[in-house]
Amino acid sequence: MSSKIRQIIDIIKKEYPSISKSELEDMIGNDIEKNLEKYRTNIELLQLQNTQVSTGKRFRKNIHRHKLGIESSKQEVISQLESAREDCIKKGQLDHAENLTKDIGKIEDTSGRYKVALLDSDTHMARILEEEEAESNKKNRTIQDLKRLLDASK
Amino acid sequence: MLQSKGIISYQLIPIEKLKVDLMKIEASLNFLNNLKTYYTNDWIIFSSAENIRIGISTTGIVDISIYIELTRVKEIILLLYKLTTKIISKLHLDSRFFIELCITGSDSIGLEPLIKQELGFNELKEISFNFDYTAKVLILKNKNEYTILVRGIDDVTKVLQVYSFIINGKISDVKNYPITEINITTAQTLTKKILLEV
Repeated sequence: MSSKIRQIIDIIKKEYPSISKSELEDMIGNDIEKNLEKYRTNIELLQLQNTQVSTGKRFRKNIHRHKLGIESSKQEVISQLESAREDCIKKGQLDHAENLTKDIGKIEDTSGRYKVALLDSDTHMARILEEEEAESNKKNRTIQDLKRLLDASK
Repeated sequence: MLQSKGIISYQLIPIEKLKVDLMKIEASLNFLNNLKTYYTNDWIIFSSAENIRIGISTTGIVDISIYIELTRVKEIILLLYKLTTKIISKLHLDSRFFIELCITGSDSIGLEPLIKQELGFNELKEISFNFDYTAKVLILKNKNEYTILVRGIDDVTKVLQVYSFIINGKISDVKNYPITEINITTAQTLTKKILLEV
């Protein structure tokens, strides 16, 4: 059982010492069962949000934590960059893919310029994300234009 | 699936012989007045800044082509279907129409290996299928760019189904998918033509 649920049980037990642990667990279990659909929806929403957060954004979040002094593992950073590079190749963005390859090389290099390499790759990633957003806006505008024409034709 | 930016071209081709007076089109399609208009010998073209191009020919072909990110293809095709249908209705074009859908883009998740696996070829250059009562399918490759063309169907949901078969590598499902009672092979022989890269 998660520590959070254990914590809640402990708090309730302090307030109501006569209630047994198993009674409490049953009450919590029953409540979850009653609200199962709500939990399912929340889980699906959470999963959808996670998949929608692109690798690029996760990488930038990692770099931001690094800037705040929270070190991220080198392997995690490289793995995110590799994943972003795969995405760029799939989309035909070969220039970006090449830049990311160079960034990965610099980060893997053990000559001590790891932090500088991270910041450089963050700059590249920011550019990629900006372009993606611009394209997405443009695509949405094209679809909006088609819809507007359709409405005007009525 | 075709990824990145590419061209979607949705055409309605009349089965009957039609003759369209291009000069009367602008008045009939006044909802396109905000678009830039120009004429060629056989076409009137309405063009927007956002990569939308609408063309109507003297023979009654209605074409909408857009240059766009190739995601949400189904949503886009349905919009194009509605718009072309509206144009035909406003122009009072009296005929049945075939749909020709043509999508060009780069292949990123292995369309070619799927097709090769299905057909057992080493290299993809051009594949076309002409079968009685089914769609004509043409798949062309030029470097990393693919063109998928589906023609001969008068129902947009069936067009989308055929396109879905193709991008999922289920070419043989196209053969078994009847689409119209009109025999589209009157001028075509019942052949399967496949060209391999030499």
